[in-house]
Order: sequence, then C-alpha cells, then structure tokens
Amino acid sequence: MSMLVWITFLPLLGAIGIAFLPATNTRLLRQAALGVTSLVAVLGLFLWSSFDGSIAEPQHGFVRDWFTVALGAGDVPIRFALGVDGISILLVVLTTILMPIVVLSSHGHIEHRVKEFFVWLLVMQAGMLGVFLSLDLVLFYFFWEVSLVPLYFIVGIWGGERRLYATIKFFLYTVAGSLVMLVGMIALIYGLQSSDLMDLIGRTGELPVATQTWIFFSFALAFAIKVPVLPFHTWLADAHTEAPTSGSVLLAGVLLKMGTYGLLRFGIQLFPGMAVSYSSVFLVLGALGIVYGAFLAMAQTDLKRLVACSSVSHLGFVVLGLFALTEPGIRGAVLQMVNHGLSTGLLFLLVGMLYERTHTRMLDRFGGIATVMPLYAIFFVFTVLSSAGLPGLNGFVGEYMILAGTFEASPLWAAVGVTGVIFGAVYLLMATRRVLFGALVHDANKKLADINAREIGIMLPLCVLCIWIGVQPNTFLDKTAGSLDALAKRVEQERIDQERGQAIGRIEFDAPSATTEGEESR
Amino acid sequence: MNAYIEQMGLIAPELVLTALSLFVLTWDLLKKGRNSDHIGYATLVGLAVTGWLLLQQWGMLGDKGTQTAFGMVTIDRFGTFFKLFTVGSMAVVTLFVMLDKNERKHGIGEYYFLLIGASIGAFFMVSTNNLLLLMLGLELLSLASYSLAGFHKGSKRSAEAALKYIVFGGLSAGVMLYGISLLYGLTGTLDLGLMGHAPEGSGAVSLATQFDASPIPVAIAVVLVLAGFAYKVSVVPFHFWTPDVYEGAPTPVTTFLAVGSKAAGFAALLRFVGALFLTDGVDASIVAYGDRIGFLLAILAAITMTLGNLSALRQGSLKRMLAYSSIAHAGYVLMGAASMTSEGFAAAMFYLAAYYCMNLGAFGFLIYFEGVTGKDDIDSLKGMGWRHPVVAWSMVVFLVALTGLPPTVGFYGKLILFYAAIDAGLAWLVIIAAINSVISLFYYFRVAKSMFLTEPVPQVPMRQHGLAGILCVLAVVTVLAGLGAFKDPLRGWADEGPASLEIYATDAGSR
Amino acid sequence: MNVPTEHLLALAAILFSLGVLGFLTRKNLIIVLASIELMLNAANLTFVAGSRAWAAEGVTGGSPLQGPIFSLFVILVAAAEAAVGLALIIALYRLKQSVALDSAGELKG
Repeated sequence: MSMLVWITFLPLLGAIGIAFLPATNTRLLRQAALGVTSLVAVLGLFLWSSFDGSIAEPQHGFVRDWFTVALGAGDVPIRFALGVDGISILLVVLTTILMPIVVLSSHGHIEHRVKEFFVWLLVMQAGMLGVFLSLDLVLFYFFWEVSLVPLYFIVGIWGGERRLYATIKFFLYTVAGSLVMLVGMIALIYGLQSSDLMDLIGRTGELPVATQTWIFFSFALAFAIKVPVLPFHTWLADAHTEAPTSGSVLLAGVLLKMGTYGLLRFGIQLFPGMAVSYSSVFLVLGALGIVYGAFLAMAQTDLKRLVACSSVSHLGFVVLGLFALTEPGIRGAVLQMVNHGLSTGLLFLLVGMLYERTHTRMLDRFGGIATVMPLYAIFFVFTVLSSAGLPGLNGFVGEYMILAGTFEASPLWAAVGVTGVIFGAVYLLMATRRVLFGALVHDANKKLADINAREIGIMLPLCVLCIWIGVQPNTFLDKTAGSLDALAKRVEQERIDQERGQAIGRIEFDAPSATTEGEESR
Repeated sequence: MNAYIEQMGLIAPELVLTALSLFVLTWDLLKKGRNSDHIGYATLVGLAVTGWLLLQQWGMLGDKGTQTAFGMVTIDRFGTFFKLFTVGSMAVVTLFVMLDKNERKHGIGEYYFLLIGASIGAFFMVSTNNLLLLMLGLELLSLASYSLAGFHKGSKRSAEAALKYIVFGGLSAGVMLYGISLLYGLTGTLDLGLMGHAPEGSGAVSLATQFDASPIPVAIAVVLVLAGFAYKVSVVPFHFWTPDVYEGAPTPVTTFLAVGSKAAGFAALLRFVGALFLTDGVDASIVAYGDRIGFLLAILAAITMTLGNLSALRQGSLKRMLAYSSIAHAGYVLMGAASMTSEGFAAAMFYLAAYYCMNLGAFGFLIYFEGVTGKDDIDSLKGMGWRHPVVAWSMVVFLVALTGLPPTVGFYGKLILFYAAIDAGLAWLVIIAAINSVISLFYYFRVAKSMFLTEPVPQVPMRQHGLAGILCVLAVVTVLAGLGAFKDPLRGWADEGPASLEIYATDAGSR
Repeated sequence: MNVPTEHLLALAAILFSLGVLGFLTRKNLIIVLASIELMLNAANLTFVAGSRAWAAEGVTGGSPLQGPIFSLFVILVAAAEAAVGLALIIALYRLKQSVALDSAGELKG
C-alpha cells in the first residue's frame, strides 16, 4: 500500500482508537494524540525525502476503483485515487508537521472534553490531508466536506464567548460554497465523462465556453469563500477570533490553504483558459484583499482579531500571486501558503499564550509585557518580523516572488500589493509596540510568568522553518519546481492561444466568444 | 393443484406475515392484553423468517419478474428490494416499541398486529402490476396506519392526529380511486403493463392510443392517480397532514409512517410511472406526455423540498422538524422519479435505502430523548451530548447524513440523485436541491448545537442501553454505507430494481 | 331503457365534484366522511359504466368482470374506512364532546 494511504488514514484510525480510551485520563489522551500525529509527521518527512521535485506528474500514486455512476454515454468510474505532486507536497508536509504542534498547544486551554477534541482534530487532519492528496474530483469533494464538520465542533464547543454565532456563520458560508461546487463538479464529470483529475486537466477545453465559465466560477466561489477572498472574508474574522488557540492555528495553518490550493488546482490547473480570461477579476480581488485586510487589522482593538484580519491581507498576496499566472508568481504563492501557515500559526500561538495568562485579548489591557516576559517578547518580535516580510525570514521570499511575478503581469496591481507590504509592517509593528513596549500600566500584568519550556518547544520548530525558508528557500522551491514549471508553461501557452484567437477573431469576425473573453481579460 | 402451491410459494413472505399477524393477535387475546415482551420477540422472529424468505427469493429471481396468483401479484427485484427494507424497518420499529419508555404496555399485541398488517399492505402494494391489488394494499396500509396513529386513545393529540390522517387519507383514496376508474374506463384493463403497451388481441387499449384520441381525460386520470400517491409520500400540495400526524402519533408509529409507509408509496409511484411511461415499445406520443409528467414531478420536487426545508426551519419541536424534513426528503427522492430514466429510478431507490438508515436513526434518537426528558422540543436537548454521548454522537452522524455531507450514505445517495437529474437535463433542479441542502443545514445543526454547544441543564440521567445500541449500529451502518463498504450489494440491488420493472412491463405487453 | 355511457360518466363526475365540494366546505366530521363516500361511489359508477361499455365493444382486458369486481372492493374499502373513521370520531368525541373539524386544534395545522 502506498505511503499516502497511511498518511491519510492513520489519523482516522487514531481518532477511532482515541474514541475508545477513557475520557478521564487526560494525560493518556494527550499522549495518544501526540503519538499519532507524530507518527504521521514522520511519515510526512519520509514522503518529503522520497519526493522528486523535478517530476511534474503525481508520485506515490494509489488507485482503486470506488464506485461507478451511470451517465448518458456509459458508466463513469469514480476512483479512490491518491497522489502527490509539486502543487500539494508542501501543504501535505506542512499539515503533518503542524499537527503535533497543535496537539501540544492544546495543553493550556483544552481542559474539558479532551477526548472529543482530539477525536475531531484527527478526523479533521484526515480530511485535510485527503483534500491535498486526492486526484479524483468526487474523492476530493468527499474529503473537503469531511474536514468541515470537525471544525464546527472545535469552534463550537471549545471556542470563545460568541462561538455560536461564529460557528453558524462559518458553516453556512463554507457549505453554501461547497454545494455550488458540487453542482459544478457533477456538470463537469457529466460533460467529460470522467472524474479523474489528471485525465480532466487536459480536456476541459473540449467543453463549450459558456459551460466552462460557469463550472469554473462554481469552483472558484467555493474556494474564494474558503480562502477567503474579499467579499467573503467576514466569516474568517469571527471564526478565527472565537476558535480556541489550537483551532486558530489549524485554521490559519492548513484549512485556509485548502481554498488557495483549490484555486490553484481546480481553478488554474484544471481551467487554464478560464484562469487566463478572468485573471483580472482575481487580481483585483486579491489586491483589494491585501489593502482592505490591512486596514481592517489596523482598526482592531482585539489582538486575535487583528491577527485574523492580517490573514485576509496575507492570503490576498497568495491570490494575487496565483492569478498573476507567471512562474515566479505561482511559485511564490505556493511558498507563501506555507509562510502564512508558519507565521500566522506562530502569531496565534503567541496570542493564545498571552490570553491564558491575562484572560484578555484587548490591546489596551497590555503594554510593557516585554519587561515581565522577555523570552516571550523575543519570539513575538521574531514572528512579527517574519510576518511583515523582513529580508532573511520567510515572508520576504514569498512576497518578493509574488510581487515580482505580478509586476510581470500587471504593474498596477503589483504596486497596490507593495502598499500592502507597507501597511502590513505598520499594523504589525503598532501592535507589537502596544503589547510589548511602553509602560507597564496594568497591575495585573506585573506578575505574569514568562513562557515555559513546553511553549518554547512548540514554537522553536516553526521558527527554525521560518529562518530556513528565509535563508535557503530553494530547499522548498525545488520540490515544487517540476509541477509548477509545467503548469506555468501550460498557462502561458493558453494565454498565447487566446491572444492569437483574439487576433484572428478581430480579423475574420468569426470567433465572437474568443473576442469577448479577450476583452474581459485585459 | 401443484401449480397452485407453487404459485403460493412465491408469496410465501406475505403468507408468513399474515400468519404472524394472526398469531400475534391470538396470543395477545390469550394473554388478555397484559404487557409482554414475548410478543415482541415473536414478531422479530417472524420478521426474520420473512426477511430470510425474501433473500431466498431475491437470489432465485432473475432479471425478469414473474407473476403469481392469477397474474395479480408480480414478484420482481424491484418489489423485493422494497419488501426487504420494509421488513428491516419493521424490525427496527418493533425494537423501538419494545424499548420505548413512553409506550403504554397494555394491549401491546394489537400494536404489533397493526404494524404487521400495515406491512402486509405495503408488501402487496409494492409487488403488483394490477391497480386493484395496488389499491387494496394501499388501503390496508392506510387503515392500519390510521388506527396506529390513534393508538393512544386517551391522548387528545393522538386521537386528533388519527382523525386528520383518516380524513385526508379518505380524500386521497377517493381521488385516486376515481382516477383509477377513469383509467379503466379509458383502457379497459387494470393491468399497468397492458395499459402501457397493449398488443393486438390482448383485449385492451393502450393509454398511448387513448392519449392520441382524447388527451384531456387521460391527463386528468393520470394526475388524479398521482395525487393519491403524492398524498402517501407527502409531496406538496398534499403534505399538510404530515406534520400534525407525525407529531400526534406515538413516536414508533411516526417512525413507521416516515420510513416504511413512505417508501412503499414511492415504490408504487415509481412502478406506476415506470410502467406507463418508461417501458420500451410504448408509443412516441405517450413518451412525450411522460416527459411532461416528468416535468410536473420536477416542479413538485422543487416546491416540496423548498417548502419542507423552509417550514422545518421554524419548528421548535424535534418531532415536527423531522416531519418537515421528511417532506423535504420526499422532494429529493422525487427528483429521481422526475428524471424519467432507469438511472433516476435506481437513484431514487438508493436514496430511499439511505433514507431508511438515517431516518430510523433520527427517530430512534427522538424516542430515546423523549424517554429521558419527556419532551420533544429542541431546546430541552441542551447539553444532552455530554450526558448521553453515544446516542448524541450517533445523532450527529444521522444529522450529517440527512444534510447530505460525506462520509455518510446520505451524501452518496444525493450524489447519485444529482447525477441522474443532471443526466436527464434537470440541472436547475439540482441547483435548487443544492440550495435546499444549505437551508437544511440550519435546522439539522440546530440539534447538534443544542446538544453540544450549549451548557448542560441538570437532568436525571436515565440510560437506555438497548436503544443506544441500536442507534450506534445504525450510525455505523450509515457511515460504512457512505464510505462505500456496502456499495456493491446496495447499489447493485438498486440498479437491478428498475431493470426488472422495465423488462417485466414489456413482457406483460407481449403476453 | 339503455342509459348512454356518457350520462353515467357525467353523473359520476358530478357525484365526485359534489364529494370534493362537501369535503372542502363542511365542518361536521360525519358529513366529511359522507362526502368521501360520495367520491368513492363516483368511482364505482365509473367502473361499472366503463365495464359495460367495454363489454359492449367486446374489449375485455383480462377478465370481463374487472370493473364490477373493483366496485365491490371499493364498497369494502369504503365500509372499512367508515368503520375506522367513525371509531376515531367517537374517540375524539369522548375527549372533546364535539364532532366538528375545528375542535381538532391541539396540533397547529
């Protein structure tokens, strides 16, 4: 059996196992959860080392027949197909590595109903890994929804005061999006008589342009909600704010990446033609997201909400990079997905640690924390710098590549993106000043204990990765090179074809659809 | 004589059930109506025998159906599929009756007798091509259901539910019978096969011929009969009895109404529509008319699911909510019928099988929860998740399945339905169904929210291990079926159903 | 002496319509049940009329007695339904001392 099957289903087996452990023995539960996630992380590292970045096709494939559906011309096999390629490898490994950290970070704030928490956490991990690994449309949707229900309970049971509101909102947004996607998916499978992703990738052009367009947007809507792209961002701020720290880390680290991953895999790779035609829509939304997210973050008085809003801004960069549709843009975007997972994950961990000590997240309740918690302050400043894109740390590499790639495609939106970098630095440093420095005005804060060894241990691996990516990004970029190069070439080819089609249409007046498309893409 | 016995052998399951019903009634008389679990066990054994016979029959049957009892009864895989599920749901309902704490234990034998009577009705209803036997089966099922709904004689709600049920049931029976009499007047036969396709010398006129001559009476007749079925499966606009009857009837009875009775109604509906419009060899004019019927069903499906879901949103009582949710699900199943293809019918059958699993579970939860709190409103579920974790988490599985999310059979069923509908060119209906799934998410997860996301209120913990066990098993089945563990038998069975229907109907025509 | 089939069918249709009308307008439960009986009898009349017409033409799908037999069964069904219906009405009357449809107001319809 392929390693990927183990990676996907080990968490599920772990969840079932943990469900049968005694609920009262918290220690045992934590150890079991840590054991399972660590095992998966080890498998993830094996996968990383055995993955050949120069190959464009999926590796470690695992294919079994699942079921068939009878459609028009004949039976369409739906297969249980897993595989990993350059698009997904980074996210898979990030997920496996982040999970033990999430389990460890639950120590401070998950004290009730520990068993249920870990069960849902592991189910969610299985769902997320399945999303990144599946190479069949129906299987992808299957895992996509599987990863949804656990978060409902994680936020709803262990969340903050307004958790009910946040949960319903999050659930409603994402399910609405994904059901629209389901309709598009069925239409796609019906149209091309296949649900094999690798088979479909080259064939979507066979469909009529109108059909392609609505299917593309049905996919894009689901992913845009998940990312979230600008008009859909409101659920994120609430869900992030109300989720328990571990949930927020997971949400920022992996769950949102399902959206950007989907945009890349099912938006750009599956429909390169549509992506070229409508790239400007996403460029606008991405750029607006960067600026708007930054402004939102500046206006926040709640530290956790501020971090949540910064997510909107950072993910705007990813969308911008993806839909620049240039090689550096896409590669930068993929790297930035990981960067955001690391930096924002760290930020949520830090906010959580502070909250456990002070039981508040309001910025005006802090100030001068650095004097009582110096170690904490070091980590905080490090993370803020990584998030703001200081050269030498991870954020810089990703943002630089994205902006360079975007400049190639559209200097205007690259310029808007650059202002986002500046605003990002502004709100992050403002927050740092208000939390760490200044006078220690609140008496309650005078006796705060500094972070302990466990907390340092949780953050250290993430910090090492931040530096590693900042100094030697090629370790990571090389793994993605094969697939992303091939993808970028295809998109480029598509763009050339469309421009040619547009030119022909202009001369011969016989390709009206190509003409309208071309106009919209400019 | 031997041939006669052989013919009777084909309806052995029905005969066993009839014997069982008489046995149960007699035993209850001998016991003078005293509370006894023994009658329940006897019922379970009888049902097991019936189920075993049905499985034998399934293995024996080929793709082709066979007729018995002078052509009145048609034994085919389509019917046997529904009979198996009727027996299965009956067994679960019997267990519910035995384990229900609120159930009056006196005269319980009559309870079982009526339940078995209802399923005999369902058996004949799903396995006949003759409108007379179909009507009689339907009436037997209905009469038993009316009495069951009013089984709690002292309860105003129960009496009122039964009364509403019989009044509207009588209306629908009248409407349907009038439709059947018109069909008979038009074609000169009561056999659906001959109605669909009447060859030379068969002594009947096919509906298609009559449709060419006088379309309006044919349209009226078909629509009147469909209205009768629509009542049975609670499709809008014949749904208004559903919430009241479901709420007032004893909960195990509600379970049977929502699961067994509804599925039997759908079976008869599918057979009726299939025999008249789906078979090979029927004339082009009637096929075109069939498409119009399909469109009518599609519109009804859209209205039914939307109205059911929107009304479910406003309910405070879990029982009423499940009633409206069952209306919404009738709309989903109707999508399969509206597609007017064998794939659509197979999808509808599969979805009904899925619906069995998840609704039996949801109603079982309701019985458990009524046993604990004595109430049925969603708000008094607060914190139940932490006091009765096994049951509550099982309920979450059923809720996820009812919403149609993976990894449950509800998702799988909906997926196949959506495919079938898109295949039949009903993309708009699929979009409406998808929107409806989002709406249903609201009220289904209100239950989960109440159970887990709110703090517990003090309660006397009363554990009911038997019920919890059943629910747990149902939940596991729901998930496993969704993961595809049972894909081969279940899908295979569902796929073979319409096939046998189709071949049989053509065969009858050439007889 | 021979009544034309059309007349019988028309009478049946009128009976059926009266039944539906009665069902929709009357509040007394007994009358509502009686209206249902009227509808069932309309079906009976159609069956018998249809049977006679087909027999006259020599077309008898299956058996010539299908129509009349169906009518007999409908009478049976009607009797059973009336029996159960009246029993339920009595049960409600014991609880509410009324046989008006409006008195069934326990469940929000």
